[in-house]
Amino acid sequence: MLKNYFKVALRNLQRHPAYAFINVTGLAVGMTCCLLILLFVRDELSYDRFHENADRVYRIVSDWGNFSVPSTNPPVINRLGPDFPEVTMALLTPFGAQVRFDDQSFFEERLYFANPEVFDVFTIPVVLGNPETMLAEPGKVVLTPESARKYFGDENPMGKVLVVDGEFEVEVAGVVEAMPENAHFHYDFLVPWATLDILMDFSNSMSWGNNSYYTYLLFPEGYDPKTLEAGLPAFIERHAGDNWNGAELSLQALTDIHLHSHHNMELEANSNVAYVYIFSIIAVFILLVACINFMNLATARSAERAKEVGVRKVAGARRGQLIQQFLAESVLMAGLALVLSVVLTAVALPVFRALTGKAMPLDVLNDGFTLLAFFGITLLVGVVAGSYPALVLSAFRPVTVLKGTLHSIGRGAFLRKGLVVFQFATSVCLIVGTMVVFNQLSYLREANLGFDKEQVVVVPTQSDSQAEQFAAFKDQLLQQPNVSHVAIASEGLPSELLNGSSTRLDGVRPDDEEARVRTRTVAVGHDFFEALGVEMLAGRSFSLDFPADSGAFILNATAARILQETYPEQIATVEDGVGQTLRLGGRTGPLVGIAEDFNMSSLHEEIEPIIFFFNPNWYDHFLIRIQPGNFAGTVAAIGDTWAQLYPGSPFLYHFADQGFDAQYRNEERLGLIFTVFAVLAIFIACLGLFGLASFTAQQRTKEIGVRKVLGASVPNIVVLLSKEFTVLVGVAFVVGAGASYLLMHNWLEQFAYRVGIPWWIFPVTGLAALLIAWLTVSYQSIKASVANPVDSLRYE
Amino acid sequence: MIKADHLKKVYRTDEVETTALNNVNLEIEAGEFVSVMGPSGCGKSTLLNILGLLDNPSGGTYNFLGHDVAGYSERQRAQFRKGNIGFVFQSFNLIDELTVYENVELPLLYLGMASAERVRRVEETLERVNIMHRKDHFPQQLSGGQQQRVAVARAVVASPKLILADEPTGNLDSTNGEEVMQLLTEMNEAGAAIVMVTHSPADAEYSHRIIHLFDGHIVTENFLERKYAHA
Repeated sequence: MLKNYFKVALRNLQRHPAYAFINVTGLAVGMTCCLLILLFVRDELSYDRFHENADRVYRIVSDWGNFSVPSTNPPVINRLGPDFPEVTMALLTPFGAQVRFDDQSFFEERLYFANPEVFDVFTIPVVLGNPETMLAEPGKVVLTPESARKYFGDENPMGKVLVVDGEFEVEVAGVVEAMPENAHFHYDFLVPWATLDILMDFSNSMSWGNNSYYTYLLFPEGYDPKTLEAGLPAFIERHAGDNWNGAELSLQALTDIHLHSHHNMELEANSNVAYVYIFSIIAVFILLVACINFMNLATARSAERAKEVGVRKVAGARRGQLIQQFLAESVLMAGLALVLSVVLTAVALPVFRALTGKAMPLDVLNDGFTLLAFFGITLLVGVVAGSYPALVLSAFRPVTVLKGTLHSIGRGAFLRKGLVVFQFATSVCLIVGTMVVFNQLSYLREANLGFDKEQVVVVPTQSDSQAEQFAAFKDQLLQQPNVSHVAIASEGLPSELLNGSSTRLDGVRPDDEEARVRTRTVAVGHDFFEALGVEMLAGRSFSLDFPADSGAFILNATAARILQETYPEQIATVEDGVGQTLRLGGRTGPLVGIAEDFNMSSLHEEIEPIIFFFNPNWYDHFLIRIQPGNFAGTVAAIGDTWAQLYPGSPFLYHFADQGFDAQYRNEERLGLIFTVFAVLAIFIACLGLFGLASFTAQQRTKEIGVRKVLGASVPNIVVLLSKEFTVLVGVAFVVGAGASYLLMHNWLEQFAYRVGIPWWIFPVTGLAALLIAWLTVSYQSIKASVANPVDSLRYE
Repeated sequence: MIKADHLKKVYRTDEVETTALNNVNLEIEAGEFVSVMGPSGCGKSTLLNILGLLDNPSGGTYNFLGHDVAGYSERQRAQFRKGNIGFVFQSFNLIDELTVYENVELPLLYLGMASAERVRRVEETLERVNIMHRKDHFPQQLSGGQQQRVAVARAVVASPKLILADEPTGNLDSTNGEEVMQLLTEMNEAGAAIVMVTHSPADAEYSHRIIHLFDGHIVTENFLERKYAHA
């Protein structure tokens, strides 16, 4: 019987190649989108799950409410072990350093101090060396195969000596595999944790405020992490008492980090679970749009199939058997689409990889997930797409259909219209989404940050000694005609602004906890505001003319406003703050100026209150303003100066505007993916519309003939045939515009600085949708309207 | 074999109520060949549909092979039709995607018959209607007469007790029409009762009895001289 079903289905496809093409292509494109998104989602969900103990590993988070870090401080780490002996603790802290072997030297950004327990907590395959000892004592280093090759080529790296920051020597004690792509952090070098004892006496450190140590806890099987978490307040009370830094400590599951963690100081940028949801929804919708084509065309063709249903029923078929038959047919169609989809996926995957920046391996034959996904989607599509036509067609009464009195045009027409509306509404949503994302993106890129971000070269220093030679560097650079300002600061651009402290008016209500302004602290040198082009709202910038400025402060406007609100009796207006004496930690000095607000981080964030002051110990970035024209030459000249002053150190730099742009890579990626899927959704919808229009024209052949005989012109007929679809697209536009407005409004909420949804997006989308729909149906309409009525009437 | 009492069929739409059959009483014996005649719209096809269990009457009783089937559900009727009733239509109603052989095989597939038995029966039937040489052709490749012979083969392949034919020669020229009537007569002589709707007095001559319908009533009933073999 099944053979009979497939035979009929196959012969049906042969007899209606255009119909088969529309269905198979639409389904294949839909399935391909769905599959690609499935691969993406799988990759996103796979982060850190490859660790054998992934479900028992948690990391400590310190949370101050408006600021949180996924790390903690030395005294906590030193005391956790003895207090909770059942827990295994892996410790990591990243640092960047210059690494040299013989005459090769590179600046390495992915060095980590790590304790030997990282091998117990994480799953890290060892290539060479003993994992028990390779991180046990100072003076050692562990490489990845990649970094070993970089320095030693194919030679055995074991026992070789590298020089870190020109200061200390480390001997290669092991080689371990790098973290796979789907891990939340990646190292190139592991340096024994015990080195920190030499550098900063870590084991005896009482620095409760130095929260830059990432602590991962592996719990024994069956141990409830909540038990330890609940004990943390008592732990803090017991050991820190009044010295505590004020943070609330909590545990975060290793497997939650990639999608759910958005702290400051993340080891690497994480993703967002919202994107997993957004893409999953897009996948479902695109697949639905493709299934709808199948449903619509199948039911539009119902008149052609009706006779067969009647005959089969008369010959003894039960309805269930007919439903089976039609489902078998749609599954077969989906199977054919699968074949095409495999080809399309193979073609599209490299592009999709580039678009998402993910490796997403696809090995169809050896990968159970992919096989399951392929066949699962096929079966799902077959059943979903086939269910409605199967139910409709199998319900035909033989008496009616065999007499030829069935007129399919009315049958299911309402639902069919509804489905077309759904398809176009989905397309409208995606078009609007695409435009809003790009509109916001261009706003982010072009928005006024409050300073001139163009032509600012940011050079991070690689050691304290480099910052100490800043004066010489600056003098030499300023001799170049294209360099206008050279400044130094504790932050690059953009910056996360991680350091903060309370600012008070000196001597006013010293015991009042409320009488303070929580400010971000940024150490700057002379020319900082001038280099960035930041204007002063009141007072003046730091100046060489005032030697006492080394103890002075400047606030940004936000900080000055909060200061005025905090001390209204002392400061009448914001500008009046200038001249007051401020206290920041143990340091007091005059407020000499108030700078206009400018955004140092990203437009995702609001501008925070900032206090600027001199502190040579903090400086680690040079900011160089260059003149337009001959960028390459100017940068090369800066590089030459660098090389002369800091021989052996690579010249690392970026442009501030590029740094800001890079922050919007997620949005950019989203925009691109939106575009691709919007185009595909429209393509599939149009494919369906094309098929539907052809059936409508076919079914109205007689009507068109009669109208022409009665005097209708070709344009009259084209309008007649296009009218129905125009109304449908119109309704779809209203639905889609409404839905997309709500969705995109929601999306924009995540930006502290955002542009509204511009009104013109909607008419543009509506017109585009209409135009596409008209173009799609016009071929069929014109074909039907220029046909000779004699033929159509005789045919009837 | 068939006993219908006071059969009534009313079609209702929102505004119009049409009585297609009104108080029809009819008995048909096994092996009988009955023609139903009458002007268009008199209820001939409606009667045939009810007798063929394709439709339920609005009123009256219908006893088929000793079962009161008037109130049967669609599912029950489908089950009861299988193997008991064969249909021949004016417009042949062959499935275009199936070959001659496959079209004839269809009722046996739905009966769940074993493959070897199916092959035997289908080939035997195709031989009987003299279309075996065309068994791998598709319906569009056959003449009207040949298509109707295939349709007759399909109607009888499961050896039904009743064959219902709705103007079986309506789309055929006289030569092909005659051939089909001969074929039906043979089937009847082989034991199947036939009820045939026709406009053609010549075709009606092949039957044992002619029933005239008018406006949903039986107006006359003529017994012809030809006696049926399996009375």
